[in-house]
Amino acid sequence: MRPEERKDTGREHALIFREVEDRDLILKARRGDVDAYNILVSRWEKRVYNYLLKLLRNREDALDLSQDTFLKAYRALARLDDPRSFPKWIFRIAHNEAISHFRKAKWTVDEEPPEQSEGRAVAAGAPMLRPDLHIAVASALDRLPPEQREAVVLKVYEGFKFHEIAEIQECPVSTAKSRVYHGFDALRDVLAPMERMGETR
Amino acid sequence: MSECPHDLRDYVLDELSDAERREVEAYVASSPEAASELERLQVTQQAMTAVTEEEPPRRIAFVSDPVFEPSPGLRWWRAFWESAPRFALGAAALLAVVFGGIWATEPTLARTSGEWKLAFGGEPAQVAPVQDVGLRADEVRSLVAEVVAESAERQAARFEQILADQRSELDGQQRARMAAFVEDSTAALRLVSLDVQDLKYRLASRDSVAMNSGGGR
Repeated sequence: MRPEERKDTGREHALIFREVEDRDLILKARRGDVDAYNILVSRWEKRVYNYLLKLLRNREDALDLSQDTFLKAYRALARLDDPRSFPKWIFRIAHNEAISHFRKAKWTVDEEPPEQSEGRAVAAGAPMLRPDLHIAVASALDRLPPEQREAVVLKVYEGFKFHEIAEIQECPVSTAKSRVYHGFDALRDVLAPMERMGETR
Repeated sequence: MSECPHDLRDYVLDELSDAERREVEAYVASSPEAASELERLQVTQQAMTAVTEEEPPRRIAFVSDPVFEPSPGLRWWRAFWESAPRFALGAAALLAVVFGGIWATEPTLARTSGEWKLAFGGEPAQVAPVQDVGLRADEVRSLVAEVVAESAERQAARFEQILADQRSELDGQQRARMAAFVEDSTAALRLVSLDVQDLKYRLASRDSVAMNSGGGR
């Protein structure tokens, strides 16, 4: 990532200083420092939660799986070879939680409806700016097949590179790229239709 | 140059090197069609990222080691309480769990209580079997509510002590998070540590009143 070129979208990105601090926290947590782990969790919980929320479209499930993710991550910290890999590593764990969840629920993209009343989808505390846009984006994402949706979320919202998405989704890099491209094209067609088709607003 | 040197999506999705980005920008400057497509892609990305991210409904935090290895009973127990918004609303489920949980699954609760004790440093109430006096659901509900309200005060005091102990070791951010976590768990633990001796007494009193008044079960 190039921090100096990053547009300010309000999202956390792996700036260099944060990587260093995370590394310290990870090393401490590995030695059993629960307080350090809680600080680490506090830095990542919102991202992991929102990622799972976009996949699961259910807040309770997203929170449950987030908790499971961080619990499993704590137990598996000893197996994390390079602390710099923490971002994709934690998302890989979250990804696996989502997959297990889908398998248990026998969820398919045709059966599971998106959360009812997208107008209420923003949590208390986050002002509902441009609710129509939120609904449009959420609906467009929901129409994607789950693998494409996940790939697009990992790319656009979490800023992972194609090769990192491939690791998280455990697929070839070409597959990850293809999923991102197809998903992003579909979103483009919904959110930025060609001008000749009329005003988008 | 008749074709863009790189995929415009790679440009927008930040997969290009600086040199590659400059090549794309040069091409786009000379091609209205490419400029239009690039704008569509950028608008798409901006629309997506304009949507605010949500705060998780609860913060996630962990306490000491034994709680990292929750038993199935504890895990279920915690999951249940975290999902029931208020015990008043979950009264029907509460009844099934309280009575089923305390009387039918006493070993689970004892083990659970042990782990809560390790986690929160307090001594949970002793659990003992209680005779089934056949109360109506609403009677039991109000009895439980009474007991829980009293138990909650005791439990809150215990947690204040735990927090005070932790305060000296944690920084401000951690305190807030622990407090929030404990606050959530306090609600659960108030219900977990029902003083069943109290409940037994009330049930017995109730029973004798009912008998004396000649009915009313």
